[in-house]
Amino acid sequence: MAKGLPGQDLDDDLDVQKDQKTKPKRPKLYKVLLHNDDFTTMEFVVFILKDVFHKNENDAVKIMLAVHQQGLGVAGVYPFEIAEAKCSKVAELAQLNEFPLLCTTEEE
Amino acid sequence: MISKELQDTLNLALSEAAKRRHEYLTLEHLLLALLEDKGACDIIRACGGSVKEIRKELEEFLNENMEQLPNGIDAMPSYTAALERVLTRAYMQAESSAQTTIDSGNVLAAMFQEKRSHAVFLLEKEGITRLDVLSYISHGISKVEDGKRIEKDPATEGEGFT
Repeated sequence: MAKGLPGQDLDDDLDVQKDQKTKPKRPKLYKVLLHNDDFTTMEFVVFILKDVFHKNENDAVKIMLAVHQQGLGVAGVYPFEIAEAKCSKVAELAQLNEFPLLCTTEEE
Repeated sequence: MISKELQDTLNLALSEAAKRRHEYLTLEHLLLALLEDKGACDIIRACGGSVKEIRKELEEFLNENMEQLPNGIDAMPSYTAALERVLTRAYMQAESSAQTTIDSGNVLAAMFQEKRSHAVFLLEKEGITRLDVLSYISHGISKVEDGKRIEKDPATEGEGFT
């Protein structure tokens, strides 16, 4: 048999399916959210919206203001895989520029 | 090591994504490229799926849901974390069963854990499960009983699984 991976507890795999499988559901789209904080500059949020989410200046400023005023802004809606990729891109750029900007994904 | 066919598939997936001006190389691009690989098509057919139907739906999804890079920006598509996870899983599974190369079958089986992926949804919609793929690549057991069950050569396939 295939061996367990090194360091893997085989008991973790005791996930026995007993119910009938349900019909596959079309995967949902995911919102990428930017969260407000007191340290990330408005310019950096606008830069992120333009660079990572390809927004034009107008839209970028609008979303940035939503983040600033409502605490949260939707940067875009994507399939999960893309949302996840954009989110980690934001985290990477924020860290590089030493801003605590938080970016999360949420099911539509 | 990655089999030559799988390397070709990855290259094709990358060029498809680039051609469409997509920013990321996703599992959907990978599945689309796998549909050009004979080994992967054999698996899909043996598991009762229609290659044509999957291709059609993938094209639709890529056209409707994948954002194109704006004009003026040119970048090679980058691998998504989901794609990296699939390749890592395929690699670890192959390694744990002492296979020396990973091929399209390992990758197909490794895709199923990405539950939120549209590519996986399309496979499941065709009635293909991870177990079907594993049964076929391990033992050549086909799900379709139409008399032309495709037997794999036991000398070259499924080594090291048991």
